Amino acid sequence: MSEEFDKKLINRINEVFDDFEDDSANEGWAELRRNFPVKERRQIALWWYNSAAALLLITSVWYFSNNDIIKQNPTQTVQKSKEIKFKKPEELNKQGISDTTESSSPESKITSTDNQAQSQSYAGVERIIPNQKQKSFPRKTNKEVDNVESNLNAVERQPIKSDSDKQRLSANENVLIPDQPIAKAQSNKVELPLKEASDKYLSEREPVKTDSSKQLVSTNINPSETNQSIAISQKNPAKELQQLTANKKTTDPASNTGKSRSKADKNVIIGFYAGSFMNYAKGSETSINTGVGISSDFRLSRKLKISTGISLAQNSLKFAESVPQEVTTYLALDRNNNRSPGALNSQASNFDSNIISSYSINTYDAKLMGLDIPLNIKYSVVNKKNSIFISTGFSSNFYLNESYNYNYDYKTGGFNAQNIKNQESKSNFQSYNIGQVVNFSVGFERPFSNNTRLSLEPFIKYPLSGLGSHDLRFGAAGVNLKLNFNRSK
Amino acid sequence: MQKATGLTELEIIQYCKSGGLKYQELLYKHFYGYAMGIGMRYLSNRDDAMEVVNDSFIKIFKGIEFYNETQPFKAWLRKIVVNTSIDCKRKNLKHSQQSDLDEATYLGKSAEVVAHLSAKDILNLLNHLPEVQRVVFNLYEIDGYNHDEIGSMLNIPVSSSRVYLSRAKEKLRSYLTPQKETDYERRIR
Repeated sequence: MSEEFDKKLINRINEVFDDFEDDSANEGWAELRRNFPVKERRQIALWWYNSAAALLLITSVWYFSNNDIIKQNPTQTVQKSKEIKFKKPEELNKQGISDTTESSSPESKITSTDNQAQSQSYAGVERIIPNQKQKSFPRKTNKEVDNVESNLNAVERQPIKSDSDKQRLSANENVLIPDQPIAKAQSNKVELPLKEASDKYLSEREPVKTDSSKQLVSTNINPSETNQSIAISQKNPAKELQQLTANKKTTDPASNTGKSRSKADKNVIIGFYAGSFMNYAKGSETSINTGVGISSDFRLSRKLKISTGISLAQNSLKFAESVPQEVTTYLALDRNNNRSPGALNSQASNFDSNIISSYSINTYDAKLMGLDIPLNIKYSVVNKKNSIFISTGFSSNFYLNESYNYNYDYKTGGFNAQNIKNQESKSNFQSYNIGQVVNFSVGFERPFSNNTRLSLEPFIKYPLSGLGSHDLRFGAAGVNLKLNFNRSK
Repeated sequence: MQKATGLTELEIIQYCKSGGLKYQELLYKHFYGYAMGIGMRYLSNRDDAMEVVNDSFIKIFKGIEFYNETQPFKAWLRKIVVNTSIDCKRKNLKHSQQSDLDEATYLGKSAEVVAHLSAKDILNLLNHLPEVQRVVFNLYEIDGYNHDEIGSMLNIPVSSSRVYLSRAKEKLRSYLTPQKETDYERRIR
């Protein structure tokens, strides 16, 4: 009797709920649209994040390559100007321009001509330089720069025979050109203050080079001759030297960009690191893994930096006793893989529910090779020679290769027979997680060589959600050994 | 169940496979009532039922390309909604398994009353059952799972599943006693 009643009740329930209607479909759809389609949103987000990361990398690469050019530029500029000047003499020789001094010895003639050429080409004035002297030009050194500087004084004492010379010289603001033809010699009265001033200046700059500078100056002086231009420069030789020095500083790209360059260099630090870490997850055995990467730190203030980069790391997890709930759920719902429990269940849902009755997962191994793109804020707690810093932020992961191996047994409902199955699923470039891992690290950094610093950085990564295509929630803890290249000298 | 104008279920599903949001909406609204019916049988809270239905449809939209069109769509949908409902309830079930079961007293039954039960009445009856009994009753009697499957799904012994089913039935019978019967009769009339 009761069985009949139950049957009637069940039939009635089936009957009612087979044609059940609910008028909240529109409301339900609106609710669903808040979370769907998820994939599109994630793709857009990924696109933006990828673009930002790519832009950051390109910018940093450009920045560094640009810095290299700036560093090399001073030498190149001087060399180029020399090269240009060296090409000119032939042309100028054709015009019959002679710019030799009247000094008695040929040696001093050559020296003075050479020096003039150097000084004038430096100052932007074309001069004639004998071809044979080109080879004798040393590469740009401090000594040479000093010579150039001292020779600028000598230039003023050089005779200007032709009008074209005058014109060319007048193009240079810093060289004083008299209206009258200039005699090449100067009196001893002139020589002394000049020498004193130049010696004083040179001794301040580089005392060792004073002698050679004196020689260079003295070779250009002929005491037997008078010179109006010298008389002009004689008025305030120290002032002129200062002016020339100031001029040199402004025209010298090396000294001009030095400060800004080193400042810019210090603002970005590139580092390479290798790390050893261990993955952790609830129920997983711990295993040691490794990773390598490149990082770049952007200085925001003296103590604060933004740190980003990219690393390649292998993550592996081994569940032998208890498989996490999220994995069970994932596999139960996984109908994409024909051999997964979910698919078997799905086949059972084709709709002979007696085919499979239950399954349980015995072991589960996961190996994920992926790229980690962190975005951290780094704060220097101790900012001295040996520094200590703390860093925190988020990581985005892009998995290049995922391999899951699991063993499960299931019972068929009809015969209640137990079957055991090994299943391996692999996927490439299929999953990514944006900002789903929190990073925290503390680091100790010390100088390693002139431009490099070595840091030891213990870190921990904590997952905010399931990662990878199986939504496995795992973190990592380990130590990174990092070599930072501080590009400033 | 809303009717999609000019399109059969199969056509809507085929359009959904190509990813058209418009057709997904059609499919959703077409089967919403059916899915809600299943969800509400398992969950007493209407909002929870809607959440389960939405989660189920998201799973369906994601995996619809793997749907075998030779099989009835309703059965596939039912399977997914049931599984999602179980996932949603799993946490509560662990606690409710410990709840005391009242002794049900069989007083009588009325086949006529049963024949006139509305969806609201049935849901009201089911809401009076303890969580596990309700789920076991639904799984076994309405959705066609056997006790092995139920044991595995709910992580309970097969014998417990049998006991819960038996007690659920007894309780339902007890609710439809002559006293209650008059209440229902009064309401129907």
